[in-house]
Amino acid sequence: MSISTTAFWTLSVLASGPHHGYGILKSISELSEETVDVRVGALYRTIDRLESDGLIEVDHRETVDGRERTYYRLTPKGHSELESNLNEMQMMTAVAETRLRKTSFGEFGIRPTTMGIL
Amino acid sequence: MKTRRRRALLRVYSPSFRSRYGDEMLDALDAEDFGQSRTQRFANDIDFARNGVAQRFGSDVVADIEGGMRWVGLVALATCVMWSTVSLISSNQLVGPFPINLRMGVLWIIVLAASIGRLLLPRCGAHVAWFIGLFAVVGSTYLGYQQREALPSDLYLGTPAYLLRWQTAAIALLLLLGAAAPIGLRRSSIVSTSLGILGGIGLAIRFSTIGAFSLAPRFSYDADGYVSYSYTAIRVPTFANLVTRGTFVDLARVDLLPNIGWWWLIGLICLASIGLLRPTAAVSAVVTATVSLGAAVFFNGMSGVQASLRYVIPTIVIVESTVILVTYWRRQQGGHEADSASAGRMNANAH
Repeated sequence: MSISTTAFWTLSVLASGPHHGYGILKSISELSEETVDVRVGALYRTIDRLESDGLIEVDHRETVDGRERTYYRLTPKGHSELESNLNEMQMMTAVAETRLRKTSFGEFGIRPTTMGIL
Repeated sequence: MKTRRRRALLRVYSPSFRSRYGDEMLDALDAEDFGQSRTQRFANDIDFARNGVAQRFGSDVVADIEGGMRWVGLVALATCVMWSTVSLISSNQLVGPFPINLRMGVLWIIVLAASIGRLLLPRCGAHVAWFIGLFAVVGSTYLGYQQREALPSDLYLGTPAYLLRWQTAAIALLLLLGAAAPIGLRRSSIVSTSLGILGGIGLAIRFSTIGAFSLAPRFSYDADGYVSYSYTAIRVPTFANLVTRGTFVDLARVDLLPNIGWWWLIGLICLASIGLLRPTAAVSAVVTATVSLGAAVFFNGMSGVQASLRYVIPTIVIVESTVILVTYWRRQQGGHEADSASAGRMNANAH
């Protein structure tokens, strides 16, 4: 089962330990070097879906400055889902890389640097 | 800081979702706002509401709305520019270099082309139909307004200008009603068709009673020709005034049942443009139609200001379209965007 970008990043963040909603948001931004921009509404929709699918669950709740935060953690099912998606992505990456190399080097028999000089 | 605005926006989400994540989302939004400009905060608000719609109705609905809105917004802007230019350079009897009748003829051809386009390209045709409908109605409005100042030769009942005017608007209505159908053939088709039937009944009633309730123009002449015209009540419906004076001919006139069809049409355009031709929004449709009708009756009683007030709703549509367009473009320029209804997905069917 393929998952959305936000779901993938959320699972990836939670793989390192429990996080609360805004913490997930910040972590995604940091881990992706700010190339992935997840919005609050979208994140909580994803959390809701992942939770109802049993991929994540509530770890604990705490109150900070009078505000309650819910921390989520990965379930075993979520863990295997993330792994399976990772494998799928690696496979796709490998295929794409092979095809790309074949086109750049195999078919024309020249390297990009040479093409640049020409 | 949980502003009232965001509290209100939160209501877009479903109650169960709201109760589970509402407070946390508002807190997260507050945190996200820190150090951001007012414009960025506004963009956050729009995104927040947008995600609410996606949560409640599904991402495909958001995609449909945005797809439609882009067209509507673009064409509304183009139409505004065009008609503004035309109104600046036109005389009473000419619209640009063309006579009013010819302009309506061109409008007709465009509407027909849209119909063909809708048949050939169902999905794109839906959007085409939306903006053509908008175009046709703006055109009809403009010409209805022009009619007020035009000479009697353009005002006579039964002239091609009259026929084209209401028929164009009627076709625009049909196009708008049909526009929802190609968008996935969901239950929305049933609702829009039902609205169409109701609209048709409303128009039929209006059409059949127009002779009894309308006022007819009376033209005055002297030796040099036309002087002025005034209105007199028609007591007995005749074939001529039933057939040639359709609902939309009376845009610039004062009627007892004022412009019902016109306001109904404008209501439908609003609904189409904001994507409310959906099962869950059937109530909104009815409310809008009712409010439109009330507005028609109310504004019609305010002689002298009604012509400008008629433009309020189209203006709202245009402004709304522009805001969404600008927001969309800004987001597109912002690079990679995750979990968007239209972009940034690893897999459209994922989760």
